[in-house]
Amino acid sequence: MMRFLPFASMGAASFAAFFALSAWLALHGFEGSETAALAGRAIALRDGAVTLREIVLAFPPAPYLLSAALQQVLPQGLITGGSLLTAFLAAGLLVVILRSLVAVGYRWPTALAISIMLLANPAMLFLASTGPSALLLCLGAWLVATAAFRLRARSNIVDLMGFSAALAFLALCHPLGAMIALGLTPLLILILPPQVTSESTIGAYLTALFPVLLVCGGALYVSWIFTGEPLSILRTLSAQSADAQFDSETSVMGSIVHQPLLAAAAYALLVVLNAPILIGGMAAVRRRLPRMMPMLAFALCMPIAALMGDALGLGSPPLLLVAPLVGFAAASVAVFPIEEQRPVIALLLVAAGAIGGGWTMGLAGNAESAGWTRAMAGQTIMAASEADRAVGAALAGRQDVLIDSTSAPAVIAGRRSASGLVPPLSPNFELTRMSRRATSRYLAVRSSGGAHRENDGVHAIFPKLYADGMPGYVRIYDHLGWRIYQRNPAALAWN
Amino acid sequence: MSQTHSESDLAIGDLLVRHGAISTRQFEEALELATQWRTSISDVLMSRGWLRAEVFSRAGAACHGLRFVRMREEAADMSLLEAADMDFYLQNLVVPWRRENGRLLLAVNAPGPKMLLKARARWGGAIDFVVVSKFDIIATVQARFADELTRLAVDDLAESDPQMSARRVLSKRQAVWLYGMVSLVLAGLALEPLMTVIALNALMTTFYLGSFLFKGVLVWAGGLGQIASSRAIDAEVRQLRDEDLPVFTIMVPMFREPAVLPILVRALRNLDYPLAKLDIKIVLEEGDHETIEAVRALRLEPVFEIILVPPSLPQTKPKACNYALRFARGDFLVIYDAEDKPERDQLRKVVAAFRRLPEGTACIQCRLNYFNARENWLTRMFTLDYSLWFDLMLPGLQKLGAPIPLGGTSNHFRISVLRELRAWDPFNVTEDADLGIRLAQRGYKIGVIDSTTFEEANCNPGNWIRQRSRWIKGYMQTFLVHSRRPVQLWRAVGPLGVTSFVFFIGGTALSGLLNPLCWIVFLGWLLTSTTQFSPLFPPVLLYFSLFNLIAGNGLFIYLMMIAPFRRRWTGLAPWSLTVIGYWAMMSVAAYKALAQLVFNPFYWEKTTHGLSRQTAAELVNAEAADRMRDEGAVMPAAR
Repeated sequence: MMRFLPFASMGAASFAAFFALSAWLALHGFEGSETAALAGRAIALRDGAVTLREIVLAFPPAPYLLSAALQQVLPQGLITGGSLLTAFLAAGLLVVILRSLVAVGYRWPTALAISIMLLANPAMLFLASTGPSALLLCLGAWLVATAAFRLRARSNIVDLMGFSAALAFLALCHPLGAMIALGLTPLLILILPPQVTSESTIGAYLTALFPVLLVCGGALYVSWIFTGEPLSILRTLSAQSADAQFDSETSVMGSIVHQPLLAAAAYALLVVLNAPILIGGMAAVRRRLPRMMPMLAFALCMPIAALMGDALGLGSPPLLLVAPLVGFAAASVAVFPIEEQRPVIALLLVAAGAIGGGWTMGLAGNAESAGWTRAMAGQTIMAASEADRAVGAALAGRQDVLIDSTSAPAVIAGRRSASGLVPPLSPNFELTRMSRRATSRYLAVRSSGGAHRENDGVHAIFPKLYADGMPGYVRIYDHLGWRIYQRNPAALAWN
Repeated sequence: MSQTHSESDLAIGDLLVRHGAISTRQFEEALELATQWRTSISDVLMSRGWLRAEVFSRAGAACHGLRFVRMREEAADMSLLEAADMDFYLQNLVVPWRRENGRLLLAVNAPGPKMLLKARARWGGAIDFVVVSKFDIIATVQARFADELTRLAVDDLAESDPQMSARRVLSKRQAVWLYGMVSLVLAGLALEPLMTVIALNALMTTFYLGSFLFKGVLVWAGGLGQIASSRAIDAEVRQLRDEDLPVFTIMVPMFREPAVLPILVRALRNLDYPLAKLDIKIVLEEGDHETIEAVRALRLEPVFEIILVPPSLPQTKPKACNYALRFARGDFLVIYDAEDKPERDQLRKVVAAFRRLPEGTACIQCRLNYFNARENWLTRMFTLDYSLWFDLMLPGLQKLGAPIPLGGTSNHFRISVLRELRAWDPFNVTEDADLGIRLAQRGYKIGVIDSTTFEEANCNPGNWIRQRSRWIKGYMQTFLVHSRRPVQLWRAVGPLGVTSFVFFIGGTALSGLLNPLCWIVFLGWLLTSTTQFSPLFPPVLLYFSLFNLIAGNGLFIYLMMIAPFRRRWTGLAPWSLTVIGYWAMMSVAAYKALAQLVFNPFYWEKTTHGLSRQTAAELVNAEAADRMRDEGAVMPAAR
């Protein structure tokens, strides 16, 4: 028990520190876009405005289901499930990384310094402030890497199961996680021990990848059961990616992601900037293949995953790559040969990664990260979710509102209730979509100028609604890219 | 078996050399081995096949100035043999022969001071010895006590603890309970059919969910610490000296399988264990003339003893083993099938494991796998199945401290515990699984070690279904027997043990019966898109069923897939994707088992061995080795 006490105290301290950081950011107007969205989705779940079918079809399920479960047990209005999950994950990650380093022989102060520097990478800190997905990605990558090093070294069945399960977990955390799992596929030959692949490479690959394939197959099957179309799950994925890409296009890297060669170089640069321990580590363990080969696989898989995501239209913001990179880096520090090289070298490489994270914010940052930087500096900003929250507040108490709250769940967080909304997949929304006749009392639609346009269900039914309104409805709200129309009783009577 | 070579042993050796029965080189080698193994020279000479038992006995008689008797020609006075002394006769190889001039003549195999002391303690001072072959003593005891031995083999357990015997398929209480449950379901179907079917569906879903979660945990636990445990036992094996090794009884029950024995004989001769410390019993049914002739034709060394089991019902392997157990003289006992190929160091590892594992460990289960794994689809699936069972699940059960259903062969017992438990239940057709649970109920532990016995995988579907139906029927019997006293079971094995018992023993049989129902519903829905089944799946149940369908089946396939990983047989992994066909065969076997449980509960579905091409190749190798041995070539592995 006493052995775990120092780790538990470190976890508690980091939990408190993360909350203090969140409070500071909130005080200056910053709210993570994902946190806001998860809060809205949790309220929708609480109010019964989400069908089980939507839950089953949700992707990525891990952050959604975990935060929603937490939200159900939390007192209303005090704290959101997403924020609490994020704080738990931040603390948990620090503890597991710290523990893994102490276990392999790092002295406590060094291990603590390395753990803090890994997670205090500015890009990682920003990502953690936006919501739990990035931390889950980081955790997933750490689990994958840790299991991979063990598998390559010991060829134990538990390590194989751990590796396969971690890959599946990573795929469930975020579309980027799914891309990393896919990107690692050609590189598995570097991770699987030669004695395992010697009899049958196909058999060894299948064994390692089966849980991921099962997750993918299961998602397609469930999608087919509920929508009649197995590939409809991919639309969910691409919709989320489009949301993310919108912001990333404003960054330096966002502008080059459509040029594969440049993009590949840029993604590789992110690896060098944020995880120099992978490069330094490979040099340090170059004669020890069980350690070097997995490091090489992780370094290569990130650009591959990002490029594949771009090619499939499932790309994520380049900045998000930092999260799994930190996970890979953390696992790599644990296999850095401190028996031969001084631990301070590992410390310096991690410190270089933290500095690289600062540069990454400039290279790959977006509007939200810029706002986060200003909020960190004590300036008051407008949160990315402000527009959604504001329209939500305006809709508070109003019933029979046709709105695509699925693609803008922060609206529900602003409204604090989902009852009275007519969201996608509800019978009334479906009826409106098929008949293209509005019958709801209120219509809420997003600006036709942004990337959300493609995803907004109301805009898809009534493409001219935002700009021109609709006969029989009057505009009652127009703020930050949202407009609300109210049915005009007189006009209706006149019709 | 004596522990050191005595003066008389040396004298017998000299005599044998003088008469040319053995060469000087053989005598010197025997002397050296006897010292190394701490056993008698005669045991070494006989174990190496250099001396027939009768020749040794004649020489012994000559050395001691005693009369040699062939009991087949000069039979014993059977009235002198008493049932109460049966175990004494067999353990010490001595029987009263005749009474002459007021003195009792005892037929002994190895006369000497120790024997004299034991005999005087038992029969007083008015005794004399005649010398006979040990086979004559065994045959005499068998002839005199055939009925008693048979009665004990059949009824010992059932008479001492009827509730622990499968002689009665259902106890009265179980019959009442079953009747009540069936009535309840029928009443439910009559009054509230939809609700009843939904309730049954919910129970089935819960069972599947629990089953796959439990097996997932089990496999994970089974994978933990295996390498460390194997290394520790290997280290212990290196510490063992030949002289410290105990006498090990190896029992080989056979029935109508004359062809495959040479494989096992070769494997036993190759064991890294002093042959003189092996007490090998080839257990045959009296009426099985074909196998008896085949065994005799092998002209085996005297260390191989043939035990003929008189005909009686039920004609099962456990009954034959119970019968032969009376003749066992080892400290430990293992059962092998006739076509088994145990790894060379298995017995040493077992001895090391018994020393290393906790005090109450009564049995060590070794792993089973197949030498013809890649022969056809069925052997591949069977290999995946066995790899999962023995390489992952049983170590998982051991790790969690749950009862272990012993499997097939290669279970090594402390013979004293086996006798204390009244050995195997002759009415149970998976007597090993039953014994595993019985050991746990009595507070004994079972260890699982990393040593494999390779067998012939069943390569014929009909033969496989026969074998599997017997196993499933045996699991049904075992479940029924051990659920008769649920409170006692709970107290003895705890909640985890009960969970494991339910999912492992009951679940194996139940899933085979339930699977076809699920497949019919699923296929019916898939092919016709019917909504007829929708009322049976309220939302929550539907999502759990969906979860079971994807995650549960996926997990089971995955577990099959990773099962051969430990042996690096990754080429078998893709075959796990076809496991549905294997499950379908299992369901056929499960329904056959259920029908047999009702109509023919003790019938032993015989598995035919020797069908595999690989077995034929193994036989050719074994026979070639046998020829070399006969021609006097020294087998390099033999010790």
